Amino acid sequence: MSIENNKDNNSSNKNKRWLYTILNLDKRIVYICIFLAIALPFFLNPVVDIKSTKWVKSSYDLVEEAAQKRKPILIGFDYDPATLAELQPMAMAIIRHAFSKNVKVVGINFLLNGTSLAADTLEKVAKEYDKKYGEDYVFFGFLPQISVVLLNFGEDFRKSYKKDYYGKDLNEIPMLKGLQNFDDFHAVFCLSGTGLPSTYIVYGVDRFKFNYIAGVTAVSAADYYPYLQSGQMKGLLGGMKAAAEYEGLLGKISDGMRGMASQSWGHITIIAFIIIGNILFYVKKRYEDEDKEKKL
Amino acid sequence: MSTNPWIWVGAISTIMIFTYLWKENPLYRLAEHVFVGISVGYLICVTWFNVLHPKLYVPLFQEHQWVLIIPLIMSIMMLFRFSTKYGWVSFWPLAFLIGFSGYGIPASIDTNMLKQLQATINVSFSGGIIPIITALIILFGTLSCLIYFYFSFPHKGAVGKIAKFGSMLLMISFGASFGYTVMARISLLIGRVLFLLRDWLGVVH
Repeated sequence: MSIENNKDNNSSNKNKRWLYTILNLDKRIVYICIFLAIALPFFLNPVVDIKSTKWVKSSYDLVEEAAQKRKPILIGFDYDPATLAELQPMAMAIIRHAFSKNVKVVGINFLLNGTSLAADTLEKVAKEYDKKYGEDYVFFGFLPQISVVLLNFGEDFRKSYKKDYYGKDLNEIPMLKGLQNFDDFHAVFCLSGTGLPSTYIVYGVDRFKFNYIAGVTAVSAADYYPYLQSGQMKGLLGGMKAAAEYEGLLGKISDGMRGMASQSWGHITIIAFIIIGNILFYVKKRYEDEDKEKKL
Repeated sequence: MSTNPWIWVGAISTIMIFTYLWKENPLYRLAEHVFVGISVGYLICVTWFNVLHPKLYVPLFQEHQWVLIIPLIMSIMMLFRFSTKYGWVSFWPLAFLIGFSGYGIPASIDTNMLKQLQATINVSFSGGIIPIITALIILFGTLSCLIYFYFSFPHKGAVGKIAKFGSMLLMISFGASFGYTVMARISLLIGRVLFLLRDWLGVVH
């Protein structure tokens, strides 16, 4: 009897040791697992079967309408390197869409750290579609005091912007002839991981009434849904998934779609860790209860 | 593998930052300080070339628009903030800035409260079963969440049940926000990993 009890105790102690080893797992092993879950899918074929959501489709449709009406679009490149991974694929997909339909693009920027990023992005996509600066696209560059600039933009953007990013007088840029304010743009995009998209609504949309779409990081996406219901926003692009959806509508695989397989595997790994952690926590609690009973 | 030296700088900096995951170390510290220094330098350059030079220096000193002396003086006054003795001088331009911000209050109330309230009251109960369910969720969801934060009545009986429903909706909303946060953080890692594998090592196309 005592031998059997000893055997039971030994196996119970082994289980406990195993349990506490896993519960005290070095966090660096978790990091390695996440890293592998993110990195390995890049060696697989990208996910291409992504169904677009209503608000991504409506954003896409606005650019299509801009092409039909031959009106330009305005893009606020209000992101910096910190949110580059999520917002750059979005920006590239929108610009690609616009250039592929011969829609002219005007870029502005209210986030200082992202100024040259915006200029590079426009230039990079323009090269792909053989578009010329000043004829097919223009970048106004950075200006502080977004509220004042947006209020001026509603009347005449030349009140705030005298020259473009490269120092050229706006009156000498052929594409800008006939363009004056928000009314002359079919859609206005703001791509940002900050609170700037809501500033566009406060000082722009509610006052001057234009088709407005916000492209935001996944973290802040949930905050912007109320503006869709109220009609203040016509579309919403939330995080890398929205970029992938837009690429899907465009039929061009790029960073958004490439990242989605990694995104899924990253999620699965985290979910697995959460489930395992909870099960182990439950088992630990049961062992602790058993120990208490034995002591009593 | 990339032959562009700037890609190498980016890749090595990324790896230096990632070493923090192993443990705090001098490489991480170095990368962090270099990043802060470069960012500040970049901000100063862009501010000078995009703002101060075209909007202040040229109009004031070359085109003689003397009215711009006022913002110039106010900008200089702002720099007194660094002095413990004369720090109060910076309060004047600061007061002007805060005063101007007041302009945004009615606009913000209109955008974030009145328009949202209007949209909730005017929910459409037409267009099929799904839009009707959505409209009901919006209407009852808003009301129950408001009741959850209403403490003049004890949360008992019907009020308690509605408040509980409101708190459940809030939990769902927090869960969705947390899910989005996880997605965002993974996206950032994806961006860096793709940069290392494609732009630097060239093993992914």
